[in-house]
Amino acid sequence: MYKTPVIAIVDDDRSIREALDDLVLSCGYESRLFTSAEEYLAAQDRASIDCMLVDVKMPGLTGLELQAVLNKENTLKPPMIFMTSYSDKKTRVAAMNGGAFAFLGKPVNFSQLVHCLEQALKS
Amino acid sequence: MGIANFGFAFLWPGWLDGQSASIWKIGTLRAFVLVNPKQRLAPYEIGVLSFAFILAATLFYLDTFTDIQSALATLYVIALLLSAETLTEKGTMLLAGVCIGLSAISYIAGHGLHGDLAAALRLTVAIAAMVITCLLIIRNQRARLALIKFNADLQSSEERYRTIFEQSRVALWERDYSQVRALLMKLRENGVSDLRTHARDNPGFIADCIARIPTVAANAAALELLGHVDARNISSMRRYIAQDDTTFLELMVAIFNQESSFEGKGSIITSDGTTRLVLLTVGFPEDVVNFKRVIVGMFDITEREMAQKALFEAQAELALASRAATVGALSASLAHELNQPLGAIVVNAQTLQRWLDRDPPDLAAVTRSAERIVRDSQRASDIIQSTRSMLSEHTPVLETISLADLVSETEALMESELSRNRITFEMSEASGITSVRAVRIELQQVLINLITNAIQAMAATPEDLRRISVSINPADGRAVRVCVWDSGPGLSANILEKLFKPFCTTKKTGLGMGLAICRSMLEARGGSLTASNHTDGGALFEMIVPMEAIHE
Repeated sequence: MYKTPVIAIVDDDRSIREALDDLVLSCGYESRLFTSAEEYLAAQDRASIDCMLVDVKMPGLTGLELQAVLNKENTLKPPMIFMTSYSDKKTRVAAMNGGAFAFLGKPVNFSQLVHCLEQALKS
Repeated sequence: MGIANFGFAFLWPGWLDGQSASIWKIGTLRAFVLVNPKQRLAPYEIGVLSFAFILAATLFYLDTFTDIQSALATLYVIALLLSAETLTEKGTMLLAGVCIGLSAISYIAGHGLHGDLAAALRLTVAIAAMVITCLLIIRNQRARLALIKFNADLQSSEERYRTIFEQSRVALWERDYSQVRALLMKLRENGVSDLRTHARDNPGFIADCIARIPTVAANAAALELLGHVDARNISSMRRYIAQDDTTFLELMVAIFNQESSFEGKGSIITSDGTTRLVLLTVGFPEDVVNFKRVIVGMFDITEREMAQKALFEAQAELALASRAATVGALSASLAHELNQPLGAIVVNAQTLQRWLDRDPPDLAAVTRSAERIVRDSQRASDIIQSTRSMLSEHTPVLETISLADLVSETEALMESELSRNRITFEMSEASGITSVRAVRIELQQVLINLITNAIQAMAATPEDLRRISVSINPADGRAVRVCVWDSGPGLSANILEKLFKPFCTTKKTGLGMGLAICRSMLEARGGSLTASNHTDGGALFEMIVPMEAIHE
């Protein structure tokens, strides 16, 4: 049975969150919105999540720290797509070494993001 | 006889005992402050003194034991005169007393207490002559002592003056201004009323004046100031004063106008060719004769001027840097703040297209996207608005400013820079220019920037052609146009294109923010700043300053 993919959006900025939410929706996926990494970690039904769109720079735990926490857990980790305004090389390398699926700059290239989502869900 | 022997022995001490005894006796006389308090008496003085004693003794003998009917006693005066120079006042008085005593003894010995009238008269004349002589000698001695003391005072005063002159850390000269003063006075007699005009019309005038001022003396600090030159090489200041030195001309004007002193800033060229800035002070004597030795003081203020200039430059650079830093920090913060809503708008707009592309289009979703776009756009706009209002909190107040005054003030501020680079600064103002309402520091900063650029642009221009002209003219009734025109090489097409872009610089040091900030500063107040090449050559910068600056 075909299950509608669920995408988690972790971003502290409301405008971005809602824009991505609508984008995910227009692609025919479902979305779950989180305003912080902590909120995501506290969620009960993380197992249902198929892919994550994560902002790097957030108050509290950053995107990279969230990745580190998830890497330590035994459970299966959904593919992570990072988005950031500060796409410096060091952060990118750290994210990719941590097993990120993609690392995208902000403002987001729309078709690149859609393509990334499709690829991530296929894997 | 006994009396005679006593007198003889008293007047002629130790003569019979030889030279050493006589010196001992003189030592005794000195102890009673009877002879001049000198270390040693010269042999001739001892001789003269001895002769005086012999004379006195002979006179006494003749007066007492012979029958010569004349005023022999008057001749004691000679003994008094002879010893006058050697004896002190007290000694002279004592000697006069002894001589008077001796003549009295001679009189009594010869005539008894009841002598004849003629002999008594002779004695009286003799005593009167001795008293008068004694008084004259004393008066003469006092005058001589006063003169000696005066001379000694004068000498010590001269020594003190020499010490001050030689030891002073201020460069001091003694110069003979009498010739140049004579020349200037002659010009005045010949009807010259304005010396500055005269100097301009006669190019050799300054050099001629310099040549007419020989140096009499110079102290160590003066020689050091000129670059450790030999005292013999400074008889003329010709090579140390620049030929077109305006300060020297002002000094001549001060003499010409018979002022009592002169003070000014000048420059001298040292022996190794470097220019030192000096504070020059000259006090002119009241008596014309004393123009032969006029004291000229110079104080090296090069370091002070340099420090001031460095401070000024540092302040200007700091002002620019802090503005640049503010602009930088502001842009970074704005970029970050705006990135979020703008990013969201892009995603929303593209998502909106996807909803539209559906068949049938999901219009409800389109409306939601459009609403979010409007909201996020508003948010971006709010960010810009709040940044603006935050900035305007620091806006300085408007003042009523006369642009001509501001230009003059700025010229004064940059005076040393302009004169060091030998730049002629001209300013012209069209008639009927009224004051503007503007932020003084902003306009001044722009002017300083433009003038500094002009100075640097003319580094390769021949000195006599270096000129900065600032003109103030009306511009379309609501503004004033201030033009800064230099006589440098002008601006290349390449430079003209990017002159006002940030970080465009032709200098090794400098941020290249100057003109960019100047332009944005003027534009923020409703003015403008443009650059072009003047048709007669050189770069031309035009500031448009509104009569009433925009002030939010």
